[in-house]
Amino acid sequence: MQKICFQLNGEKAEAEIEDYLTLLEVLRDRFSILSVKEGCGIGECGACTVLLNERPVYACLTLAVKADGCDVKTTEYLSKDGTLHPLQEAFVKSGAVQCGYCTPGMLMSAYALLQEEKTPTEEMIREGISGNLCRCTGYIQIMEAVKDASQI
Amino acid sequence: MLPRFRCLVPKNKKEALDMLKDEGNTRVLAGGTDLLVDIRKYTCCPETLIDITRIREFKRPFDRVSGILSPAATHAFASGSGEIKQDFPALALGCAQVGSPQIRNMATIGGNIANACPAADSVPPLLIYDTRLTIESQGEEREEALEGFLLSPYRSSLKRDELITAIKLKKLKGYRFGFKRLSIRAALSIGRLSVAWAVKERSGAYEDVKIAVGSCTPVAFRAREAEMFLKEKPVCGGAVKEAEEMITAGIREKTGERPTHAFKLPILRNILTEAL
Repeated sequence: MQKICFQLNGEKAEAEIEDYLTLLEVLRDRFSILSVKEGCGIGECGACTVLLNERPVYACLTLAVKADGCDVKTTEYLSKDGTLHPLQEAFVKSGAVQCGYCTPGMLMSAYALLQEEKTPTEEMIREGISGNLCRCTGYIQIMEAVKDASQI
Repeated sequence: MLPRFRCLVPKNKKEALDMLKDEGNTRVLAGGTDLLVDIRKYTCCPETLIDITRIREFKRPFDRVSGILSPAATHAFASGSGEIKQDFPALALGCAQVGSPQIRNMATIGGNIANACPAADSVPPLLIYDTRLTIESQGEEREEALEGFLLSPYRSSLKRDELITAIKLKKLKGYRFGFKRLSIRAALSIGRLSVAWAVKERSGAYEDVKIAVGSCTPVAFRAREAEMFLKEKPVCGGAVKEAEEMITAGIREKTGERPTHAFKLPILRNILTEAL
């Protein structure tokens, strides 16, 4: 067992956890952060993408002990008081959400990209979401949404 | 859920080396992008993981003066750092093509080397920079060339209680560099062929050429014979074709005939023609 302290979506968080738990399990089971999805569990699908110190990582391949002292952000961070973030609005408008399973992870990858690059090229958007799989949309609408959000 | 294990988080190198000595069934955890997948698939069942990413001595990812990379430097750092792009451009190119942004943010160069995967994308670039590793265990230190360190797929000369503590690259001046990787789809999938090169020309002839090839043989290799052959040969002429022949013949000798040769070897020849 270890005690970890970290910033979770801008607030202080603490937990006593078993060493072998992943960040994905701790976020979902201890903090009820349900936007973080388990898809493949082996770092391929990107449904569990969260930001660790502002950089996207797979929560399924990150031991929770690695979050100690770090900043963790999930999709819950984006909307405030029931108002969607402009990036989320853009996803809705472009029809970038179908079944929705990939959406939280996709949003976090796109959010990290836009934090780093205000007006990304198509190539940069492609690269930015290359670690997130979507089996519904065919990516076109997602690319459009990120492009639209970058122009806001 | 992952099978149970303990995870120790040493604060400095000495603590880590003591833990490696004292603990029984351990594995070193760096980024974890390979190790946690193996643990999840039960292909590796350690009782204790030792997370080396918080070691004080490894905090600084790169020291420009000595050309030393921290084993905990991530692929995102190696592909994005202005200093690496300038001093070791082939490494930056290679690391940019690993996995996905999420993988590159966690996966480390030390882990890529220690895992000894034949398709490790950072290895061919590291080979052309004549990379040497500092390897330490409790009370002992040795240095070894990366070229000899890798023994066979997923096997290296690293002993159970040893840790890679520094990755030293040699700067090459006056060369042009490149890296090319072939895989089934652009992102995520494992490399099927990777080539790194450094070429120095003088008055229409090759002064020095370094070529490293990954994912073709059990261990990524430097094409030493072809490199020697190309020395002082004119740039325009048949020498490149002959060198390509040497390299592909060498691969056939190491692996025997393989079905993948039908596409790998012609593509390798094309990449080399373009590069040289």
